[in-house]
Amino acid sequence: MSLFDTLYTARSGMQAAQVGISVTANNTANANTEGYSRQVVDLASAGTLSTRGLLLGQGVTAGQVTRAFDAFTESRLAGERAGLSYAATLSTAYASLEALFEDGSETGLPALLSGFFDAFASLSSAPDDAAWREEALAAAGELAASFSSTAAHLGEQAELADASIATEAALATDLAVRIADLNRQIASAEAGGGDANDLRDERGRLIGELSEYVEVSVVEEGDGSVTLLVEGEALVQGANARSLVTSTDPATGLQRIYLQGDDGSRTDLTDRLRSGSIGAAIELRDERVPELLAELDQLAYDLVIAANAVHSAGYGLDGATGRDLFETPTAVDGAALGMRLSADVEGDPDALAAAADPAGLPGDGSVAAAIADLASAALVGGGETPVDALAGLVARIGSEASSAYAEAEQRQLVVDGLQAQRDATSGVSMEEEAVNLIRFQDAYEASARVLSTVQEMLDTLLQI
Amino acid sequence: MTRVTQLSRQHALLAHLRGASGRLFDAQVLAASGQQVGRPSDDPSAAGLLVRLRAEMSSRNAEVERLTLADLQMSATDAALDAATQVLTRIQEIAVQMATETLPPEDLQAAAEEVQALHDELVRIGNTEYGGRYLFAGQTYDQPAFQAEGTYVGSTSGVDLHLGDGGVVEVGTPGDGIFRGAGGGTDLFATAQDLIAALQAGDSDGVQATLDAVQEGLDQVIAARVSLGTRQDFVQSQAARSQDQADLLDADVRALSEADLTAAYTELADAQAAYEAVLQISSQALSVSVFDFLR
Repeated sequence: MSLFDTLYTARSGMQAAQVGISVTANNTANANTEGYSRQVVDLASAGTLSTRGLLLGQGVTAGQVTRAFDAFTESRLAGERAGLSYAATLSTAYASLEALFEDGSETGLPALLSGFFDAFASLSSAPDDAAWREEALAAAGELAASFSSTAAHLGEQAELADASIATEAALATDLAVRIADLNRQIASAEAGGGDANDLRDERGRLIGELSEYVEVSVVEEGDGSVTLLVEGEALVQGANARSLVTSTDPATGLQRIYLQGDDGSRTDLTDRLRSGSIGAAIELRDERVPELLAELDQLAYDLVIAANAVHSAGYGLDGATGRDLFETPTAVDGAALGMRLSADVEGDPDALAAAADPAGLPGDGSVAAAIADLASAALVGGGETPVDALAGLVARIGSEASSAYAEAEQRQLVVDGLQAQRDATSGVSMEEEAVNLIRFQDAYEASARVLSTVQEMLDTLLQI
Repeated sequence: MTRVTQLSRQHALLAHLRGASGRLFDAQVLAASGQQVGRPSDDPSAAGLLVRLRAEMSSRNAEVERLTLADLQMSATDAALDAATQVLTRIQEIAVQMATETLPPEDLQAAAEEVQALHDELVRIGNTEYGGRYLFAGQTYDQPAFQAEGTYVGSTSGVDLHLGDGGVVEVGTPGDGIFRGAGGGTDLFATAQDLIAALQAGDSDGVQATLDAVQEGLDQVIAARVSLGTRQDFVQSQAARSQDQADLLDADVRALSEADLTAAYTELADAQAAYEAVLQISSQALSVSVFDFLR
């Protein structure tokens, strides 16, 4: 064992302290970086050398730089993010949908529906009164317009959802491609025995982002790469990524979403995907909005058919009969959107039929009264009054909206909880880093001191 | 022990800020709108119930309006029948006087002329107009009920008021029953004409013969007034009932939809204080660093 060996030992201490400082510096710099995992340097003694029967240490080596990371928390966080973004997408849509049915609104469908019946009740008591006739015709027109605009607004939500599917599929594909590329880099870095901590952090962050669009199952492979599965189908495998592509279904005019490989083979995911914001958009477009629209259509259809049946049997102020009040819809589907006054009565208040008998003109208001009485007739879907049916629709939108909001809130709490766990495991603590800074600085100074001591000893030796 | 890291602090403070500002926003909306059930999701079942209650309330209010207008029309009809009663009473006086006394022909002629004037007055009463409607013309109330000589040209169907519960009350009774005795009553106009003819002929027996008919006519008009009064009572009490129901419904709607303002303002103050506290704590917590205390 020579003095020079001790020189090298001191050098290894200084080098290890330098690595420590550099890791601490990196941690401190990334203290606020989302998705960054705190890194730790593993110090190990450099082994021993037997010199004249003595086993003497060779100093220290900075082995690996590892990251503090909990794979379980990480994968749950990604999954819950998909759930949160699903619930948040639904919440946003419902916030817009339920705004149509605010309580007490003068221009909402509920107010206009009762206004329609009331106007015809009033007309029945003064069937020749021009002002009442104008009012009844306006009320019927406003009711039709409100049905139509409510249906249009519902349809718009479905269209917005439809449009978002294509955009988000493209963004998700972009992320999948980047993740596949990181897979390749990580596998090659780690094959050479290196650390790929930052690349892994970056990949974890991208998987989290991807999860907001669509839920993925993450399978870690032996070479450090991950396989990502969407609904059991591989989206990313090793360095290869498949694409999420959309194309318009000619039958419905709506986007269908496929998983497409390089060879052009396609798997249709439209009816299976119900997670993440893409899944929420599909669910809104294919299930939630159509169900609400169907209820609205049924109400509009039954009301129009019943009102027309009564109205066309009555007589207008001009003595003519057989005129519809509303345009007769061809089918239940689309009845609300297409609801409008019939051409026979539009712009002609005198054409409104209030009388049941031409001999009773103008004082007979029994047909107008019969139209007003439809308010309490069980005519919708075979058993509900129009007002009850509408009240049911409002309550349904309300409860669906309320559970969407509650789910979003709850999922936010779960994500917050998991994020807190992740922060506790992988986050950077300034206190720890401050301590490390002092620790490594002290170690560096001490090793330097050893170095200068050895140098003095060598000087002493040379002066002999 | 859970490690507390930079990101733990930031994320936790952010979550608290989000919570406190969300609560403050909700409290602000509640206090500003005064509405407990603004959007259906605030209380879905109450929202559904509110749609029903508001529809019911609006229909009651509309009914009150119709009943009030009908009441006014019936009052006008009553006034017309009152006038008819007075005319008939005067005819009766003349008939009694002429039947019991022997008078010179010029007095008889004058009496005949007065009865003719009263007859015409009766026709005018039969054609009373109120709010553009001929009150005794039945459903064809846009045309006069009687021609000048007393022929009924109105409709034989009465004008009905339809109530919200499907009930019907007649507000416009055709005049041919009241004035012409259609359906087995006394024809007031014909009776007056008979009296005029008897007076002009100086036929005191003939005048005597009309006395019964005049009395029956008077009874007939009074009976019509009584019937009208009964229906008007019903209309008035129905209006009062509907108004009561509308008021009750209004109270229910308010109870369901309106916020308790005291509670709302208390919550607003609470939420405001909580939000300010979180802001204060955040700014303090984030500005403290271990490095401030090292060297």
